[in-house]
Amino acid sequence: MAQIFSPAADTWMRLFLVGSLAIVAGGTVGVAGFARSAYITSTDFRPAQPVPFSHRHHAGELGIDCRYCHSGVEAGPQAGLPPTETCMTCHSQIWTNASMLEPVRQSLVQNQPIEWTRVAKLPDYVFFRHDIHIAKGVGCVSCHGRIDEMALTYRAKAFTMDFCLDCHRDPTPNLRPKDHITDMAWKPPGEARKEGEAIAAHEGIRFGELTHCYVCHR
Amino acid sequence: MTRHPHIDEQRSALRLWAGIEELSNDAAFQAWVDAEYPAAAEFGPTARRQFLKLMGASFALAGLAGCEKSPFVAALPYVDQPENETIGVPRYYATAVTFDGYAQPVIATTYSGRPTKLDGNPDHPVTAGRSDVFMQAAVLGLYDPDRAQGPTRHGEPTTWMEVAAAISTLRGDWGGDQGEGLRLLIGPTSSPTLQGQLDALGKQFPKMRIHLHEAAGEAARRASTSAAYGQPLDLHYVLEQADVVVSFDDDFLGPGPNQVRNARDWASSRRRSSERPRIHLHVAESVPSAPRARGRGSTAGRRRNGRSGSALPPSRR
Repeated sequence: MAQIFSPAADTWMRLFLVGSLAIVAGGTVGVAGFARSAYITSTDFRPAQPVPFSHRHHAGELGIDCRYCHSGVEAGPQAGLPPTETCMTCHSQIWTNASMLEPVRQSLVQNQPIEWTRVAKLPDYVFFRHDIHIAKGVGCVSCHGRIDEMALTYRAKAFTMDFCLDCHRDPTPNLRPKDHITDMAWKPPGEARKEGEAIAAHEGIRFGELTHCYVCHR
Repeated sequence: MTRHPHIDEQRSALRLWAGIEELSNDAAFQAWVDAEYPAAAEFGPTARRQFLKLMGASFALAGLAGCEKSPFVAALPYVDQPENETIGVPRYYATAVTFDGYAQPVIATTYSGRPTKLDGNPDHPVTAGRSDVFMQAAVLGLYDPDRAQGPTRHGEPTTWMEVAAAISTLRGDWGGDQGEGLRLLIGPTSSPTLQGQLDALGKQFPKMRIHLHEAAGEAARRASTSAAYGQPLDLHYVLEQADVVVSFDDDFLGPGPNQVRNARDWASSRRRSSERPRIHLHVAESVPSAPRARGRGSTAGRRRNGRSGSALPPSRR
């Protein structure tokens, strides 16, 4: 009776097993990596804006506080974009003829909003409020990065579920005193964890509950 | 995806048809159907399987849509933000929406000036915070893409200035023959201001005619009040005080501008304390109302069905 399997059959079998395992594992790593890539999370993209507004100039060089324009950040779920009137508090006095600011003047004259492109956006299925994060001592820079160094605004941190959960699992090192919330360059004077523990105790942060599903998905 | 079948002449003894065009086997009509649903014309007799295959495939792949990157969308701030406005925090306003010409008291939830939800005003005695389906649905009318954005003339948008100019020209013509041929089409309204303006217009052009367009309306009830009292009147049921209610083919708990109040009064009359007997309802109706319908026959203690137009006297066995 002839042999069904050739002498090389075992080798082929092993090669096939190793090969399929490599494809499955490589595919999984590839998909996960792609989902976290700068391309998918849009962290490498500076969308064009009707006015090339520079946070580096306004927040960094001039030192205007974040809350001067994003006034809803402490009181409501959204930080909000400044109304045209806020731009015009200064630009009715300085750079009044700058061609760059023509859309702002047109907005005021025609009573039509400036059509900005939103940079920091969470999916609709995420429940998120700015006010609670500010109230508990999370600084702007923790999620938005060094806005004061951005010429055109971009998404500094990938807003993935990973990113949110990292902090919700262990918020302590990311907490800061109330008077440094909008300070982009603030570093804890001592050890970050020890500082954060004191703030967490003072604010009554309920560790463990922050990772419940309904905290973010309602 | 139903194709209007060409009429089979052999079966003309018993011909079923859905429209006059189909009955007369109108070629132009068939062409119109084919143009309206070009996909239907291409479908062969086995196309259903192909259709299901494609639908199944697109259903299976629908999940992939969730993997796309989040789009960059426009953000439109205010030009002049109102004082005390916080973006994302709702504001509540007491206001009214009209239903069949009658104002319904509502509380509107608004975000940045855009109403998203209407509920009954809890401080208003008529609804006391209750609402109905029409009140809930009224907010959708604000975002209806077919909602008029401005005046039109022969279907083309025009300006109010041109409307005013056109009407002032027409006014000259109407003045000559007392408004002969002038027709005004309006919806149901209970506005005294509008009524006064209509009266003034009627005095100026006596031969003018006003037409009222009502989707459902209260025409039957107005006819019955005209017969009983000599003039059309609004009916306001005081169900809370009634001991016996007799209804002749009238769905008095059915939809209408007073439905919330009627339903509340009816509920409280059924829940009365022991010193007063529960309310009794007798109904004579031509069409038995379904058990899940809220009003009349299904709620009645005694019910009698008869032919419309010969409403039988209610029985009390």
